[in-house]
Amino acid sequence: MIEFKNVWYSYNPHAANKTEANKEAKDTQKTQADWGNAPDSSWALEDVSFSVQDGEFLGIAGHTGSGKSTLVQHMNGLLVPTRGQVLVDGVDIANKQAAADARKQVGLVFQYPEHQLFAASVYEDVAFGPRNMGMPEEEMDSIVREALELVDLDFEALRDVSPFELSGGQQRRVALAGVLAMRPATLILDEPAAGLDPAARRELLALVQRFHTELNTTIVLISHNMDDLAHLCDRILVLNKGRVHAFGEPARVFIDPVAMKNIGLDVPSAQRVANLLKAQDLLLPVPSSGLFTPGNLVETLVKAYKEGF
Amino acid sequence: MAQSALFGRYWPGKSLVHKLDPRMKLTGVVIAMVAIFLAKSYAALGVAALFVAAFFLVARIPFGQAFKSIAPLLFIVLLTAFLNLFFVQSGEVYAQAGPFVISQGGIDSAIFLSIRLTLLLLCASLLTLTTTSIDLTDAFESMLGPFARFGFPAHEFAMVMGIALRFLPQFMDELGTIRAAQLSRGAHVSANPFHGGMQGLSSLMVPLFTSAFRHAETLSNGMDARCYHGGVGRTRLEPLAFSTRDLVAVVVLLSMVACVIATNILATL
Repeated sequence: MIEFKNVWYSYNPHAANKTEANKEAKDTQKTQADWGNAPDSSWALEDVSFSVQDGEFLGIAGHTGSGKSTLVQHMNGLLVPTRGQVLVDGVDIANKQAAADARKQVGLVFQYPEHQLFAASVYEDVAFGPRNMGMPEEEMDSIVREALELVDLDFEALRDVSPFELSGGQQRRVALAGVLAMRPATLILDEPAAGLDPAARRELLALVQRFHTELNTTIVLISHNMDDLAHLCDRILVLNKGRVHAFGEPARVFIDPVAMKNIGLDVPSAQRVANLLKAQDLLLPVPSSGLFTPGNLVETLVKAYKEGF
Repeated sequence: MAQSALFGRYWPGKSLVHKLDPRMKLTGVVIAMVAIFLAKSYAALGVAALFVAAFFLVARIPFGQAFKSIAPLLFIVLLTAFLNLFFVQSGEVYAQAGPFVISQGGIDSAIFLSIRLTLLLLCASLLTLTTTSIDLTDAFESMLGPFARFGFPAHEFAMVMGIALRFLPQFMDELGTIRAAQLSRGAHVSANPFHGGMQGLSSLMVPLFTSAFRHAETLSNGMDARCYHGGVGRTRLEPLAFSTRDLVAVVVLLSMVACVIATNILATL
């Protein structure tokens, strides 16, 4: 379990503390967009409290600059809160040793992870993490094989190939395998499908879902795609200007389309269609989950059509 | 994010100094540096310091910012002071431990050189604080222009310099991300080769270089797409032009040199 307790973070803590006194006054005067973070804003995260439960699939949404990437870098101790605490399995990870231990538990996959490949062969690159973690060398073959099979890559065919000779989609899978090889209990993915074509995107998200169901890995997924989030996640955390805007089940988070629009986000497309119909006085019975999905929207519409509107 | 640490990052403003012709500023910095080197006494250095302080006042750059911009290079000043303290030996001896001697001459030259170096750094940072990198490269190109007659690729040289300046912060950012990613995989990214350091180091440098090549390819495609064909026949939206402001600047800078020399002479009388 990863717990955030009143976490504040500033990239420039000295200035943040100094300007905090007159911050309120300044904020109200400034005219700026309602979303994102002003570049001179003192705090990248403000008073963030929530927890990631074991075995859950958590989504994180927010406009560019809302603090998503800053937030996830707190989860394995890359960044340390300026104020407040981050607990991984009950241990504060503020000190270096605790952070190093947390990195064995929490795997973090950055945006465009294929840009971080470096080794001469796929095998060496995937083995980099496990070796750093001190996993026994005699098991390395099976560790690498297992990680590559998890991402649907052929161990025998690719082990001695240079990662730079692979296609973009394959490179991303190798990078993902490099993190999975450390066997993290929690996997954090920052926009894992960014820049992929629709087919590769679907495949990748299916992979992520498989880690969740088959390996029982806790997943934290950052995404700009509300459809993906609504479809995949147990709960969603919405950030705005470094603060928690909403946190809960998809149905609860997407209940207010106006509030979402105000912070530069949208609601899932099926729900948006239902909302548009509602605006045209076509009231559909709300599904039991509280949120329309493409499937139940079609069903409801067909049923409503047959029974007469 | 980590860009604030860069030496003399552009400090936007509309002051007189910002508006000077960049060629003037480039030459001006050289003149100011000559003045600082000419100073032979504390009094003369003080005069030079007054001028430098005045430049910063006119440029409306807060003193805190001025020192922050040279902070990363202050270690050079400290190192120089340290070396002078121990290796210049003259005058009264204050302390001695084996081969290390601290004497009056050592203390004098340590203090004198630190002030001089700090002033030089401040001058250089004033240039980059008040001049955008585009202006700076334009100035370079224009000043190297005469050499183009002898086959020196002035435009290309300036372009390469401009691109290098443009990508410095970008690579800093990317290096930060790569470092964070490899740290997440438990990398020991220290320079200690006995602690997985070599692989740790290559796990940073290889991705950085591939990214540099990727950027280079994208950039050259982008330049091709905009029909870039070198400097021949290219015109400017805002051509560089000298004005009265620049004349005033020349006068001020020359008077700085004159004042420093005068103080030097007065001190020897």
